[in-house]
Amino acid sequence: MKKLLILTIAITLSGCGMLTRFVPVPPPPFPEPIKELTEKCPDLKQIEGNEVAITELLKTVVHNYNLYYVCSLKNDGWNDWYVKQRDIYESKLRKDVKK
Amino acid sequence: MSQILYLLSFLPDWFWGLVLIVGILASLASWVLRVIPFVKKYSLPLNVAGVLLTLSGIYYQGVIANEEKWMQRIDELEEAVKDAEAKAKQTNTEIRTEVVEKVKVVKERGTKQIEYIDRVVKGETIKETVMQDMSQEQRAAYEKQVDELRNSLKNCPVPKIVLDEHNKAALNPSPAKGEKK
Repeated sequence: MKKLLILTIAITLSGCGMLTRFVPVPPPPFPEPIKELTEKCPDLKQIEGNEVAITELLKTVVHNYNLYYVCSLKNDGWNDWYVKQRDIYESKLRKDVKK
Repeated sequence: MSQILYLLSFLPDWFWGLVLIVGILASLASWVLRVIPFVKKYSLPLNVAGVLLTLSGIYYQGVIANEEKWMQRIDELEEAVKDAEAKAKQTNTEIRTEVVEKVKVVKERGTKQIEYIDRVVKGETIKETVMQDMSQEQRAAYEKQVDELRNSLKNCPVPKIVLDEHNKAALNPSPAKGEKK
């Protein structure tokens, strides 16, 4: 009777390890990047002509500074995007998988 | 073996409950039959069948419980994936709005600055706009600066070497793939 009991428990426990051994849930799709952030930074403006007033030079410099700031904002946006999307992935999914 | 188990997994759950009950009843019946002289000979096969059915029933109860646990896990993960997708989309919208707004502000500021330079050069509306809120001293200092600028514009074009150096610095030193250096 004792042997029968041991055998019963062993078989029951082996049943627990049967069938599903992994979780067949596809990972979430890679989040779509923001279109505005994927645009290439434009080349800086050059000054054309030989006799150029100092104000034209100044305007070109101001224009180029603005190009830099726009590009810098896009770069910051990418970093922000990466950090936030990574946080979403880690908090929502990796934590669940580790459970 | 795994194919057999796979096929057996298609049987409904209640079937394995029934197998377990029948197995237990058969085992009990074998104990009872043992004391009845005429049917005593059937006791052993009934006992063996009962034990086998009981073991199978218990085994599949384990399988069913395990399967339920994993199915619940799948549901949880599917929910988490949906949540993550929704949150990712929402985050994209938030970041996009923020970047677009900031870019707009920077572009507007640049345009205004260039327009201001043009206005100063042309001397248009300076008195009404720029100098409007200035004190007498500030106004005099500002007018002096504007005169200096106009004088410079008339007499001092930017030397070619300065322009060339500016253009060199503005040139992208690492052009994109396919572009000539």
